[in-house]
Amino acid sequence: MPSVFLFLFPALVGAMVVSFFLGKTRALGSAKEHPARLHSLPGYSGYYLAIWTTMPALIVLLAYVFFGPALVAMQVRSGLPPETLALPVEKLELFMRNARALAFGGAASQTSAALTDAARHFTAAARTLNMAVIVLVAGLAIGGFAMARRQIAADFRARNKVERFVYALLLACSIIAVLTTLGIILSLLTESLRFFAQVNIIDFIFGLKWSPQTALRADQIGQSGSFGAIPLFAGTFLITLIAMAVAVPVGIYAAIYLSEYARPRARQIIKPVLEVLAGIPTVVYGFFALLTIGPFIRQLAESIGLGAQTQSALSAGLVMGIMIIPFVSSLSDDVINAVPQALRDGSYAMGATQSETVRNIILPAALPGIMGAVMLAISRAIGETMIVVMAAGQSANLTANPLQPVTTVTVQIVTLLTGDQEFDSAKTLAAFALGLVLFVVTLLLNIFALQVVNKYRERYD
Amino acid sequence: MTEPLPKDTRSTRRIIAASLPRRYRAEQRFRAYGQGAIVLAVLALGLLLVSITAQGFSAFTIYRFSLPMTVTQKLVDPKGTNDPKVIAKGKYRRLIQNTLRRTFPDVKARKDVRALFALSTSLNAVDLRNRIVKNPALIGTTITYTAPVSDDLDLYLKGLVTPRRQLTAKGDLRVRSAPNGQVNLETQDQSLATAYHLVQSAWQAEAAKDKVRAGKLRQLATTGDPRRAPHNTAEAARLETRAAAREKAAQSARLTLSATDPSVFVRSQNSIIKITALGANTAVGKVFVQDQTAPVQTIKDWSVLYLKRPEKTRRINDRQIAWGEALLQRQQVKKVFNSIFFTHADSREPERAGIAGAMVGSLLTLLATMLAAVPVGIFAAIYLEEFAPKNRFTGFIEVNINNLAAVPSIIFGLLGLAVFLNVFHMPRSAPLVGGLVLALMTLPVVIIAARAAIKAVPPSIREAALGIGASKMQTVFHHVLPLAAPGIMTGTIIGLARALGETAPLLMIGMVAFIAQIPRSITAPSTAMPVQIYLWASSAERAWEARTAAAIIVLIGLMIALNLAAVLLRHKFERRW
Repeated sequence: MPSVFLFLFPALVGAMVVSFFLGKTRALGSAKEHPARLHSLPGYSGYYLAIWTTMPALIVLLAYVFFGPALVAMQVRSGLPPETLALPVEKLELFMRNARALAFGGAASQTSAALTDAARHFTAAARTLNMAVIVLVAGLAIGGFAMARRQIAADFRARNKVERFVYALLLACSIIAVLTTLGIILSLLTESLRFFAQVNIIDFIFGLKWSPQTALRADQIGQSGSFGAIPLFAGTFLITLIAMAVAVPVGIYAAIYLSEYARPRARQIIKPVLEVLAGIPTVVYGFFALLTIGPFIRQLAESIGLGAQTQSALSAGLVMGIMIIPFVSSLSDDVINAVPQALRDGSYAMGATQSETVRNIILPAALPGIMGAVMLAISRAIGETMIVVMAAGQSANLTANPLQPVTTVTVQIVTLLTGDQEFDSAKTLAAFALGLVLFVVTLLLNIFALQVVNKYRERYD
Repeated sequence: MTEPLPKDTRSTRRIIAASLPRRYRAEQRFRAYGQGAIVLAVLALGLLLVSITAQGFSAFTIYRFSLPMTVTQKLVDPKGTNDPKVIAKGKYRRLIQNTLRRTFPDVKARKDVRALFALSTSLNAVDLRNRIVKNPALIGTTITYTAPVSDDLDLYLKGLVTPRRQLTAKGDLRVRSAPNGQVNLETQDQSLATAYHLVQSAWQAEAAKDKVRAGKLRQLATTGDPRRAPHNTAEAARLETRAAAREKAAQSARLTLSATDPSVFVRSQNSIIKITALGANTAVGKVFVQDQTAPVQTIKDWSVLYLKRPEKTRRINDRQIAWGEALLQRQQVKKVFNSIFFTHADSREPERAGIAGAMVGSLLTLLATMLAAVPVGIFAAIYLEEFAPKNRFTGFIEVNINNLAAVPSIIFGLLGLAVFLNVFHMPRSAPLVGGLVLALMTLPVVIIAARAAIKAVPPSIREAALGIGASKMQTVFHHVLPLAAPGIMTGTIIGLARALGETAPLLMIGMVAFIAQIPRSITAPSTAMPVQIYLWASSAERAWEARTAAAIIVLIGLMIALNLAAVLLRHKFERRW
């Protein structure tokens, strides 16, 4: 964090407190012995003054924190000698990183005259920006204080103004969710478009070979790297299928038992226990799959004469299925409970047994809701990362054999983006393209599932 | 008056009665499926928790040296300057090595000396240096050197390397020195004979295993891929020869033990002898550890140590095991609580690695998450629940929030990488960035929980406040929010607990680096607990396994504590209207 922030932020907080009390006193003073003559409670005048003193300055300060480093880098880059600017993009990135490290005390991997020069530019640009920010923040704080202080008077409508500010703040906070979605879509889209400028989109979606090694040198042989994502989609599909084969029957039967058979006390205990399964961190499941389930499956397979490895689609899928049980069971439980009692009573009156009622009346009635629950669970399984990273393997096998290691979309995103990366290589950008696919698929599943669930709800409420 | 039932109704009754047993059986089955599903899920949870506890338990203790060490001035501060800068450059590794050599003075061969030094990683010199720099008065005195033993020895002493049997003897053992540093042993006691039989049966079991594999290969040679047949036949023949040789060797009166066979030691009060050839009453061995030498001795108090796993298949060799056993016997190695695990950051050596760095990183990250997500989430909830007009824009925001709650966490990591790191140039691997990313992820959870809590406050409260002249804003902040606070807090804590266990987004923004220091600020490079677990789980050495599981125990403990706090909060403040 820039040291300017560490110094200005506490100063602003202090100014906020002081201006609050100053505003309050001024309001009381303006009322001249008759506080009842004030339009607003004196505290509101205090808030008003505090808001004007600190908020504009704070906005500038936050903008400085977020955009400052990029601004400095831009300034430095414009002052670079042309031969440095002519470097390839990843070399230039490295150059800038080293210059920054030299300027602000870090580990630079190399030094040269050009670097020292750039580092000096860095220090200078940062100092200029810091000074500018200090002056601007101080000016805004003092100006805002002076302006707002003049307004405070007995008939000043301080409360309305403060409330309008708070209203704007509330609205801004609720828009952050929209901004997040927008940020996700924009960042995934722009990086993916850059990726598709290098790799044909048809080759990406329908290609059968995934080996994202790109060349370190231009003349290397066999370096082109192929980005056919079918093996990843197939691996994701296989693992999701296995997980669903575990989670759907177990989850639905558990939900039926809990809502139709279990006594209230048993239900009270079992439901939270099942939900613990959803609360355990996924990295723990990954460890469990890697060290307990994986070796167990391998031994089992070898004892019946099948070749198997510790990392396999089966172990990842099984463990993921266990993790997803509570998603299916608690959502299904909700929809089963929402089936009106009259339907059950009617069925019993006809002489049906409890299981016949469940099978012939309740399940058909709850089916859309259960489908929605299953779809949400599928979207969860597709997006799950840690279990597959640890237990499914990294090799992009195109296989339907669950005893073989396979790889998934999320695993490849992690592999491509951890470790050293140059930001412009196709390898790095491919991760964003995969992320885009993942985002779109899970989004569609979610929207569809929510619609199904909502539609169903309308029918019985 | 009873009218007889019409005939066809009676037959219907009969049909129904006849089908009842089947239907009841179906009912029973259905019920059993339901019970089975629940039992399965609970069993899976139990298996998960039990296996992790079982694996992690051993990491909470560690074996530690406590050796007398003379801090020689020549190595630490040769000119006697007493200058901390000079002392910091002392040769502490040599000091530790000298101490180890003095403990086992008869270790001469270069290979053995290296094996001896491997018992204490050279990283331990750092602690020693800090200790001496802090207290230069120790130079020239004799101190007690305390440091963790190497992870391999630690695992062995915990019994995790090999199955181990100790056979206590009662009769006398005669030891005679022979040429080439060997000794001949002779006894009438049964313990040597027991070891002899153990080795014998181990060999026979090996031979049987070879035969089974050879049989399978022979079968494969006739049924399987014909191109592989010659290879399979040759391999089967090789296995059969080996099995025959083993079986024959197992019958001989004296078994010659190599590095691929189980290890047998004879130990007494002050010596440990590695057996190289074993008979029922006699044996030939090499002295690995000895305090005093005499050409012929009669030992009364002795035992035989049988290690099933051959030397060649383990990372710790027989000599190191002998030294470890001797140190343990002399109480120069003791089992203590593994405080290193809770006070150190990550390390290349498992015995020096701890979770303190990851813990601080997690707390800093969580702090950033809380500061960002909680106010924004609550304000957004207030707006949506109390102020938002019912229009398309509000509906759009709501759809957005619901969808964000279901976006895979790794996508948030991609967002953080693209926006926070590449657009805003924020520092890599920093808890600040991790916290912000997790905050975006937690935001929908907080908003949904806060909205539910605000909605649960009855309208009469609002109407009463408005009725006595409060403004809408005053009503919300003075009356609704305090009443909704417990519910909001509960939901928020649960959201934060989830963020604590999240790994994938942190991998994306580079919090996976190896970081050996405890982070000091919110922008310093650091890891977090779940990432540390991931890093350790992907390390090859066996000693990491227990530490990973122990870290998981700590993480789950933290999450349980958070969730428990949420439950307690709910119970204490919950109000039903």
